[in-house]
Amino acid sequence: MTKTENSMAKTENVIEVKNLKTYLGDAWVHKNINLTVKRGEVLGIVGGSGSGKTTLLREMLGLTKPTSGSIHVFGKELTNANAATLLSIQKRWGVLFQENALFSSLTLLENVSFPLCEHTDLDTETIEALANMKILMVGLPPEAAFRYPAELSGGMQKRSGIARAIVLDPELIFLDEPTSGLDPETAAGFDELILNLQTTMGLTIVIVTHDLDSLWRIADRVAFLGEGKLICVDTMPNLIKNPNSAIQAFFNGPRGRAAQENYTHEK
Amino acid sequence: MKKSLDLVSFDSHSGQLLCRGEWDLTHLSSLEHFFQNMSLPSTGEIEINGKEIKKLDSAGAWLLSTWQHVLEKKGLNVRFEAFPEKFQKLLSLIQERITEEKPAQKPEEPSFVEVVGKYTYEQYQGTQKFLSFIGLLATEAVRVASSPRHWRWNAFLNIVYNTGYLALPIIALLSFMIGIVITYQMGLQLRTYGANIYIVDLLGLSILREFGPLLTAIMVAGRTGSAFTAQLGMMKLNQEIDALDTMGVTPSELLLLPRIGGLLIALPLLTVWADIFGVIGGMIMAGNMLDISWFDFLSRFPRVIPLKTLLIGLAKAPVFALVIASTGCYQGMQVRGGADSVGRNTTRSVVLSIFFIIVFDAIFSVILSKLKL
Repeated sequence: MTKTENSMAKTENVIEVKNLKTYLGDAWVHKNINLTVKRGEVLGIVGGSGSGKTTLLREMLGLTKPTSGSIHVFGKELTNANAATLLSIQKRWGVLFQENALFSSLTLLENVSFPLCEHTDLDTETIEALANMKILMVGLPPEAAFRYPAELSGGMQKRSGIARAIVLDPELIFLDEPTSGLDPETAAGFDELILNLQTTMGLTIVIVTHDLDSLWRIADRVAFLGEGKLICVDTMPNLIKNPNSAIQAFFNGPRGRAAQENYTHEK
Repeated sequence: MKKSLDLVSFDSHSGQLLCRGEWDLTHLSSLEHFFQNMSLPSTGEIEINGKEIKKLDSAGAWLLSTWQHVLEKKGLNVRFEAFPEKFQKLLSLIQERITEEKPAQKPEEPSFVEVVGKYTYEQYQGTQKFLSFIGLLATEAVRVASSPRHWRWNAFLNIVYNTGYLALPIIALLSFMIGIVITYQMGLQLRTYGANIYIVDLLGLSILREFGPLLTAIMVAGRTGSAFTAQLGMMKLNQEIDALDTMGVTPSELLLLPRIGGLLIALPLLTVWADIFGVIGGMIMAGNMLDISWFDFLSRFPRVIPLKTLLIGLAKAPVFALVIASTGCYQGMQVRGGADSVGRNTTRSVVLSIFFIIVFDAIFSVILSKLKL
């Protein structure tokens, strides 16, 4: 790949959200949101509880329809896409849900193989080999493959969720609170895993999180949602300088400062 | 000799395998096919050249690494050349995984004897667990009954409302139609002998003594028993039951006893309701088909149907209620793991309830005939 091609690919927008408005219940969840996600970057989405992060994520995934506005994923309009277009987009992304959403009636291996069985015409042996490789790639022990999700610990379930999300070698993955409910060591390991996957597989990652350490560690840019609007999108060092009171409250509380000091010290 | 494909070509003279284009999941099966049909030199060195490769994902890297592994086993030297740096990274990551750890073997399928043994043991354990569940409920019932402060009136009335009041329309409709069906079938026979008026005796006995209680119980097992299992199962999965336990409120007191008590009240009332509509259905059909006026029907009814018929029917209802509620609650509390288990236990709850309802009905018949009632 030449240099120019490379830089072109870097600036390509994987997701473009334009003038997004959402009315849910009896309130405007999103009043006017414009957001782009560039190829190869890790974008964090943060905001207080009830700021519409999860709704925004669901709209990007095509699970909830926005009231108005457009969402382009891989250059295709998502809000009124037909089934074929939607499927072509769905094959190119992977999702890790907050509660992992592993199929409880399938073993880990079957869970990870599931997208391969549905969307490729490979033989069973190859599918199992590929699924096993992904299970090893996310740092799970090989013998976990035949266990059911209920028999795995919380951290292992998260890793399984990631393995299923990346099994089709997607270009884009969505992570909803990937480190919530994990102990600090496992959470740190998870951050490394995400970074590692991102560099080796060239992934674009959208991550919704409250974990300040994760944001410092892995996010290239962070989008801050509040009062139904996108207050600011910037790198972490710039974002925490933003004078907006909601941002200050979020990042400059005792925990925010601790995470920041820790990170800047490390550097 | 050159063998080639759009994505890959192999020059057997120089031993160079040239990779081109997109090595990803969508092209994996054709690439696999190429490798399987490739003719290989028996010794020497193979160079895998990646300078023209445009895209390599982990599936492509996996394929290259497995082939490297296979070729090296055959005694060939394999070298990776001119792969861009980012692909190199991915390749080495995958190579590590492949050589490092072999995927675990699937556990062996158990033999027939093992399956039978395990099943028997599980059934035995299940019975034991059910009995201890009943025991626990009984001791809890004694404890709660002795201190009125622990009576859960709201939960109890809520259950009566949900399982009784809300079931009225469907039970009425169902028994009305059963009344019609029975009258029709028996009416055909009676008409042949000119014994039309005896439809009142037959209908009254069969509805009040058997069909009313039995069909109501079966309907309630499907409607309420399944709901109990699913509700308690989801609460169990959500750790709501554990939460109650830690707050010093036993689940039996707040969840199980009100359900059992509520159904114990609701089911006999529903049975009376079903009896009424069954008889009305039969009466309308008798009027239409056998020319028995409502007046004749209603004036003969109390003369030929003794009160004990109604009472025997109603006496079964509390027993059925206990069967349905205890099975439903027990299966709900046994939910483990996930959504799958909720589904399995709900099915089991309904099937077992109906099974035991019919078993108890048979036992009733035997006992009553021994007592000459």
